[in-house]
Amino acid sequence: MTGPVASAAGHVALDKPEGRRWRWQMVVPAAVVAVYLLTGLVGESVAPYSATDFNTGPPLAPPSETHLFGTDGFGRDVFSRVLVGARTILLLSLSATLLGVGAGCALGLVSGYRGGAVDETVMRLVDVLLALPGLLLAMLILTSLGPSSLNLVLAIGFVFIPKSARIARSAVLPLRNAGYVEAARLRGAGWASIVFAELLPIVLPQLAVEFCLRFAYALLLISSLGFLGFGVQPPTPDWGLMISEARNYVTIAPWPVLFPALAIGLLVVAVNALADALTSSGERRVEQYL
Amino acid sequence: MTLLDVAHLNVGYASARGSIRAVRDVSFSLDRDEVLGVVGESGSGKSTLAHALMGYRMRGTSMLEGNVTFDGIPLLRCPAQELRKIWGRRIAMVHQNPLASLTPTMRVGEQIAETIRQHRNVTAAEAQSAVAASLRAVELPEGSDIARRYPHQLSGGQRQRITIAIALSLEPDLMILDEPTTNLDATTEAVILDLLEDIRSRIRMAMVYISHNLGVIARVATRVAVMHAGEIVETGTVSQIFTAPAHSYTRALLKSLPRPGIAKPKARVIAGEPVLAAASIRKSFGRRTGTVRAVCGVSLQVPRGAVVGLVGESGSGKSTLLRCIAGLERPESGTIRYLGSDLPASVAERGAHVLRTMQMVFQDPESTLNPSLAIGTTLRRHLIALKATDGAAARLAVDEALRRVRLDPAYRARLPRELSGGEKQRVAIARAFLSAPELLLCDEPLSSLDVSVQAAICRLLLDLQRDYGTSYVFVSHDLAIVRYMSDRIVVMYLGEVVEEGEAGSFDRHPLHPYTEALFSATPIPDPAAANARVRLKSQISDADRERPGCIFNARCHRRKGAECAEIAPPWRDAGGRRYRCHWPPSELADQQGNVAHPAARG
Amino acid sequence: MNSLARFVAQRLALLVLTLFAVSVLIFTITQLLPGDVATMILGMQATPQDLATLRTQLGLDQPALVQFWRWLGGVLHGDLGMSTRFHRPVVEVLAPPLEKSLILGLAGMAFAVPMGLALGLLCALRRDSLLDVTVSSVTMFAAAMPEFVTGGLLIIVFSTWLGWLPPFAGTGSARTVVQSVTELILPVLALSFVILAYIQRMMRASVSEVLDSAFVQAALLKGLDRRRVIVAHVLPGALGPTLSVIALSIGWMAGGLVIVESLFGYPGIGRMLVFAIRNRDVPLLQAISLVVAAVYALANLAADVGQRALDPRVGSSA
Repeated sequence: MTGPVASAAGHVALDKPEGRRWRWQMVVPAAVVAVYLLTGLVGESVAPYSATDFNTGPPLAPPSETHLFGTDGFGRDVFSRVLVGARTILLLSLSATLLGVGAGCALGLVSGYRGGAVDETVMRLVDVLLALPGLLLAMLILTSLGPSSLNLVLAIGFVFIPKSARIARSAVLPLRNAGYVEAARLRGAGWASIVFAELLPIVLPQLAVEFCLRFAYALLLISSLGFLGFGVQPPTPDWGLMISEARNYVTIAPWPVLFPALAIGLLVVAVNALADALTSSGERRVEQYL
Repeated sequence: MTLLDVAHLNVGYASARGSIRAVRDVSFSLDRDEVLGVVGESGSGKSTLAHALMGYRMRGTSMLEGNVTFDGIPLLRCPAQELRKIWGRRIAMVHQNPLASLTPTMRVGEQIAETIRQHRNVTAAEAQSAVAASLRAVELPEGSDIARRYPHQLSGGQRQRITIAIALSLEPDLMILDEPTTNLDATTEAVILDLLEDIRSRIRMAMVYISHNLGVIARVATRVAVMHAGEIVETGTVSQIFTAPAHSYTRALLKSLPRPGIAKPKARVIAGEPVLAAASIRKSFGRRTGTVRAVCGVSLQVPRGAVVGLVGESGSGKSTLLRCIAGLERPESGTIRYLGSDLPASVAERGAHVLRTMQMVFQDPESTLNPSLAIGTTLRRHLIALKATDGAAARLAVDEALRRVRLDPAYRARLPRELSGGEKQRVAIARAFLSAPELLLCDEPLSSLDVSVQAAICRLLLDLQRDYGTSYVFVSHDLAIVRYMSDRIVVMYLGEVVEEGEAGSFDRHPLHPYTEALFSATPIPDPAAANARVRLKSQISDADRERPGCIFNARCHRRKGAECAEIAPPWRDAGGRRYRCHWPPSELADQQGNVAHPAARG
Repeated sequence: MNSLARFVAQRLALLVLTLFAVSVLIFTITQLLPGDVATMILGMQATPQDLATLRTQLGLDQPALVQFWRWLGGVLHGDLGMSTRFHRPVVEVLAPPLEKSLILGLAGMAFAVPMGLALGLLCALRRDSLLDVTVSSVTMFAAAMPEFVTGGLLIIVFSTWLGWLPPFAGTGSARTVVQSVTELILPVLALSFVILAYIQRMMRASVSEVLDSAFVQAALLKGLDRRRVIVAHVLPGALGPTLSVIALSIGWMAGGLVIVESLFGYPGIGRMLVFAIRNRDVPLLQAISLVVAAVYALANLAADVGQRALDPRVGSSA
């Protein structure tokens, strides 16, 4: 046991330095994500079969030498489909996150710094948009716009704007009256210069964490939408869609569900772990004890 | 008879950069009746020492060696159950910052009661009466509902009394006090120190009193230990330390304190139109309890080339006034004339000339510089904005600016977190002087710095003032510093000016009763000085702002009569000074002349 | 207490306004849905006159604002319109699935909340121990993965490989109570894993923060025993933010329900939502969206009120 409650025990329960462990927390997930990115880039060329061809082998064949992950109900090679699916999901998630987080953060930073009526209005709008769960909002938008890849990016980007705006706003709020902000005002700096030249560099680490978290959520949303049939349309392989297609024979042939599930799971966990490592990358401050 | 014996105590912490030794080979002993004053600045390891004296291991401790023997019991090798029986009952601690050390979700009365219940077998009724007794012992009004309140509903002084009450509740043999009055106003601090003296006279108790304030230590302690970088560099009796310090660090510490009667060389004050003339400034803030009138009809004049010291305690409105002048707050009414023209109320409306010539230095060195930018970048941005310099000329100007504040130009590449508090404040001053301002507004620039650093920054500010002929408005709650630095002093209380005048005349005697109390409350680092005991009863309260009559009426110890509560007091002149009171100057001087003033001796 | 009541009243008013704005949002989005509703109801063979008559009947030829007003009026009277697919009042159509979802949701909370709180507290007290690291890793996994992945993996392990539990839930014929409960286990797990993870992490974080605080240290130095310190000093401060997370998870569950019910074929409101979208059953869709939004908003309100009630500092005149 460690901690102040334990320290009262008076026995040796002393803390070890944290430096080494933190590095592992960062490197392992980053490596995993890198592997996925690589797969996204070269997946199609490396895949043994085409991801869309039917009957490359007997349907629902278990994993074997010729079909590493087995085949699905239509005889498509699961391994190839998983490899090719990486590119779609990564590309879409990244675009949507960049769009949503970029726009949302800009909005939140400006709104948070300026305060007053502008802030109030923006926050009310944000509250309204946040009144619906993200998945539901995305589903509604997609059904009105139609399920294309571009619309997927737009819908999810739109869903991300309010949350990112909130985060950026709360990051900037405590800094509004900092000494350096007032010094900047005293040299005649306008709000735009203060927000983007003074405050943005400071909150960037927090926004980076938010970016990672949104990215993980984008992966989640895209695959969930795929699972429900609202996302990427066939024949493009989508991990979520693969799971819903193969779901009904999971008791006899689990592999068309298992491998896409593991693919999603591993990626999402790695990205979340990365976000975790980024948040706790501050050193423990010992100075407070002196 | 020795109560506490510390031998070769070493405490270290593990950090990513390796281990840090916070307490190095500390040894001393304490008798049953002694008060040991431990003097040290931030980073000296005094808080770690305080906790180690109880045998408590703070989170992150990687090394704890040595012996701490309390009444024969070796605390560092004691099992947890034994330690728990000692904590609170035989050794009690009064923590720094009571707002943080009282549990915010528990009523204060309960926080006293649980200590009593833990160590004694008492019924609920007995516990209740014990709580009441504790509250009486710290002079908190009985019968009020203080025991039922939460910590955030009490004032700073009341909270500190509660922590003392908790520590006293079981009449411990040893009390350890870690900076107990640091966050309090001078007048409140004086009253708490009186209380501690009173308690010591009634209960036989040893104390370890930790503070960075030499004046307080001089009042409270019988023996002194000076701590620096984890070591005790010198011990001795109070008079030994103060009259014949042996160690160089102790000497430096004593030298860096401004004492009454010692003033800086006079500034070159230019007669004629004042640099700044603020008239009838009014500013209020909306709070949940209602509007607070922070500044109420204040007028201020700053002669050219002078240092005007603005002094007052929390709630006096001095910072708000300064910020109104700076344009960071917008006053509701009032005008300001600056350099001969009317000054727009908001900084965004002011022209380049005004911005160049009026600059500000802020209180908190930690937030005065953008933590993500290198020092050189911050200074360059300021230069570009105010003087449109860039490129090679800017680089030269930055180096010059750093040298001006006695920092190596190589600092331009460093980030703020690599600098100490004092160094950051120097950079802030360098930034302010980049455009050679006519008026420098200083909002408590020394308050967050260590004592030894304060002296250096103080000197720097005065040197720059002399070199540039800049006028200053210097805001502080620390009377000693204001008296040292200022040519004119303005005393504020609850949003109004109560007295103002030439600094030198204040040294002879303060006139307004509040100024008198403030002077008397300032602890002086001279154990031989008899402190004139003027103590203000009752708490400062925002409600006093709204009452008719004199703003100081509720706490005044020289109340004249009914007029103090009903009629606003007139301004009175007294040779170079003005103050607002119903007493005329001659009668006030008579009343105050009977009370010994330390300044009168020097 | 008076200020608390006032706070609740203010927030309720805000809630009503928000719901109104949300209903505008839902209505706007759904009105943009492609596909002609009349054609979908009557089929491709319908004559133009029939289509026109139906459109007038449904009020589809009116300007958008009027349609919205009529709809809103209906909602306030408890009339959520007529399902275009089922040809029955929406209120009737929604009742059984709503009940089913409530069962699933409540079971999920009943599992996730106590477990989450207990595990969070335990991990914070034994920070950096083996237990803490294990639990934290597992919860991170659980919190990260989408419910259909968690659910899918659970099905593979417990249905395909071990054969202990059925892979579908809640469909069709009469079952014994034991059967009903058994088939709920996997969906409840899949749904509540994420919530358990969030609660555990929040509890751990806030307990850790409180444990490191000066007042806990001060309490220990008074000689108080560990149990008293944890119960009386640590928990009250730490519970506040965690309660917010618990209230918010009710809202998150709404999204999770859609996926879990689709995965397990459970006839709840989530599955009905997907059905409504696929079939362009606009009234049904609007009603479900509104219900979800209302639950979400109430959950947020509960979170705010709970936090305020627990922490005496929030909102007082200090």
